[in-house]
Amino acid sequence: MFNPKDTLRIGDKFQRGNAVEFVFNGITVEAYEGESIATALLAANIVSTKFSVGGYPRGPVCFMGSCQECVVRINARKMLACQTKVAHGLVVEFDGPKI
Amino acid sequence: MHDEAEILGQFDIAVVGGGVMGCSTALPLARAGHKVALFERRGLGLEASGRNAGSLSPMIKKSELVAHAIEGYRMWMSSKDWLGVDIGSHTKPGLIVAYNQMEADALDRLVTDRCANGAQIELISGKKATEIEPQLSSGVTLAAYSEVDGQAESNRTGQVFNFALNQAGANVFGHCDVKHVVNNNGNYEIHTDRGIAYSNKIVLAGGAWLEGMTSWLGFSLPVQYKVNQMIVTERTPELVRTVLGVQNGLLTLKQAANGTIVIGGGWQGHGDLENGAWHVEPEAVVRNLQLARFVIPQIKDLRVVRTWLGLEAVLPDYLPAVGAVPDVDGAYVIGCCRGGWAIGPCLGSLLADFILGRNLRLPIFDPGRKINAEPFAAAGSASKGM
Repeated sequence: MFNPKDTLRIGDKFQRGNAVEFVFNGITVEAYEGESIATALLAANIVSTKFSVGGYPRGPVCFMGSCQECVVRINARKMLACQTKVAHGLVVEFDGPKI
Repeated sequence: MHDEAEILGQFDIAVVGGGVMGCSTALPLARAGHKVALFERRGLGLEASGRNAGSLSPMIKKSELVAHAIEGYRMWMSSKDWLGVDIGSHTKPGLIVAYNQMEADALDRLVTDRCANGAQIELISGKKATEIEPQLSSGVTLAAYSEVDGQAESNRTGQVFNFALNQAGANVFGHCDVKHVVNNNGNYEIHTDRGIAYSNKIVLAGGAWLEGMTSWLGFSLPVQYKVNQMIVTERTPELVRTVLGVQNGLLTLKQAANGTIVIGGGWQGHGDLENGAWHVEPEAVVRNLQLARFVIPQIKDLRVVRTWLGLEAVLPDYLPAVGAVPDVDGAYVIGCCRGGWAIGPCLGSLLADFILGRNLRLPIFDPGRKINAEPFAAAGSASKGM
């Protein structure tokens, strides 16, 4: 059955973890256990995860912990979305200047 | 070494060392029409000249250097005028804060002394300091404020001097290691890993490596060095407006034009003359950051991007050596200036004037003087900032 949240994920032959929900900036995002926050956001079509110092949108580029463009706030701490796994009920927020 | 050494040329003046001191000396000499060669083991400005934090702060220089530091500040602020290219510099108010009576008394003495030597510094209340620097933590009892302060992009030192020296027609031998120098009665033989150069005069400007260089000429400048650590954070919107320091000298802090915050304070890492400055001391990084966070609480929110170190040459009396090598004709030395990157352009132009027999507008610092340890240096000096 077609599920919009799976349009960017590879087919159903892949064994996924349990479905979970987390909140990004007030938006509920559906994901699977084992996925990184950056992956889950991309799959949910959310490509901008922060704003730069100059106020421009930024989002994950490297997905391997190097580029620092996916920094988000989790429990007030700066974390790399690509290096942090999703968990049910997690609250994730934008980093950078509030605009 | 080559079997038959290549001859690199005959020069009027050879400068050994391509940091701010050597380059600032070579430039006016080349512009005065002399055939100048400058030898640098690596690239220009890659050691202390490119590793310091770029604070200009005349008010934290020694009394004897206040006038030189103000001139250095003006020169870096107008770098395009005399280098032909802008290094990137910004005027910012300088602020030194005190958190208790002992620090306030010391600050009072510092300001009185520096003002007597020509600095323009005001003592202001903690409340006024917080108006100038809104993110400052509470508890500041007294602060020193000066409008003659700022920062420049010291990491571009080599780039800007390379441009200026080439324009001036100086012969820059980069990646050319001077192994030793022979004084051949008025014509110096400069033995490098690329061949031999000859020169009528020689200027030694090797920073932390100066003692070994002066020994080529049978003189020994008692150079010591500090392994200063620096820290830079990620970029952030404007948080700190001033070039900020704490009276005890253990913290200097400012925000660069790109939004990063550069934190120093003379905390010591590990390095030596053979290997350069290579090992950060993690505990010193943590303590430096704790102090930064005490002064500007919002810093706790920022991540450190990088730490690095550089070797800062000093003499036991904490004054520089700028002048003639004693009892050796045509040989000069320049270096060992505390916080010397900011003052370098002034000292270099003074040494060039001295070599050319011109009148000196400010005093220079005889390398042959009796160098005594500064009386108060022992206790706090190892961690005093630049």
